[in-house]
Amino acid sequence: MTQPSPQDPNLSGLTTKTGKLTERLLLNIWEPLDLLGQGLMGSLWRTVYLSIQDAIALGVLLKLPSLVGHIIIGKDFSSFDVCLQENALGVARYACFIIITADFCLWIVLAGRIIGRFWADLLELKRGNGAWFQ
Amino acid sequence: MVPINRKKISLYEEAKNGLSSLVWQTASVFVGFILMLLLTVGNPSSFAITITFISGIAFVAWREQNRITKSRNINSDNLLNKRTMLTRSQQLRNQQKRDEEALNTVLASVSESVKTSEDRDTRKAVGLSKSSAISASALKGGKTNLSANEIAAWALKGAVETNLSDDDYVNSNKKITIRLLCELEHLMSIDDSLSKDEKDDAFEHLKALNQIALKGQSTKQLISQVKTLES
Repeated sequence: MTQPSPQDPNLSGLTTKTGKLTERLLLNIWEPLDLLGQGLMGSLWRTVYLSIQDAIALGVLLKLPSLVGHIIIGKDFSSFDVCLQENALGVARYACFIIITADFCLWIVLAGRIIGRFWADLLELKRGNGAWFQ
Repeated sequence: MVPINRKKISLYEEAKNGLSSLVWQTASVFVGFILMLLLTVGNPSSFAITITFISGIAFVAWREQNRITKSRNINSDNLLNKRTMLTRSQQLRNQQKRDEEALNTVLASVSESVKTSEDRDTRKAVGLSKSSAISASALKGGKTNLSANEIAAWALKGAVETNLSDDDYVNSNKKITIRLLCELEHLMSIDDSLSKDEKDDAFEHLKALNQIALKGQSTKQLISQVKTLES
């Protein structure tokens, strides 16, 4: 493993040794993965990669309420009518609404973003560019 | 490696912008859903949910498409800028090469003058080669884009720093200094990186230096001239 040089555009100015090591390690994982994805999927790889990234971000942001609900309240909520069976004076009912809404949001945003990405690619194709950008 | 790195950087940038837009879109959809729940008093019909779901997807898709199209336009602009910057850096590199070649000619002529000098003296020859070495190292040592002005300053500084006594310097190096100044004048006239005002200014300095050399003035005056040149 070589020491990162300041000229390397891929590495930011990390100062700790472990930070540099982790960055190197991630780069070592990422670069072969990127090449593999490009080789297998070509331009589609970019869309797939961004969709996976979205799914991870949304999972962290929106699956958190479900997880917290599962741990604190000890219940799993699956639909709005379950919420209405809860006591209107208890917190579980409102927590349930938030959890279900978050689940809905996850799927709406995920689907919306994938559709939007393909939409943009289609427009790009229609504009006569032929190939996708990059 | 280079295209992969460029793509990777742009992927990083896109990921960074992507997250903020993701959060924004999620918040909008969340607010929309809460509004729908309030309107249906917590007991939405399946129709209301379907409508919200579909309109939410349409909204997010529209925003995302807008964002990507915009960022692509910006990206292609950036790419164009990068290309023009590349040609600019190439120009600078060529300029530097020309500077270096011109300086080499100057140095060669200086050493030639030392060889053909009538009152050849080892000490003076050593002093001159030192000055040449210093100016050459100034050019090669990290200073990437030296203007002719700076080269003149360094060359004269090198000549001054050889610790020749005033008389020695004036008598034996007068011719060589004049020659060096002539060469530097030529070098400056081909230096494209200077504006016209800067060139005029530098020519004035060179003229002053030339006169000092012709009058055979002391190294102390040369040093003060070099200082004004550097500032």
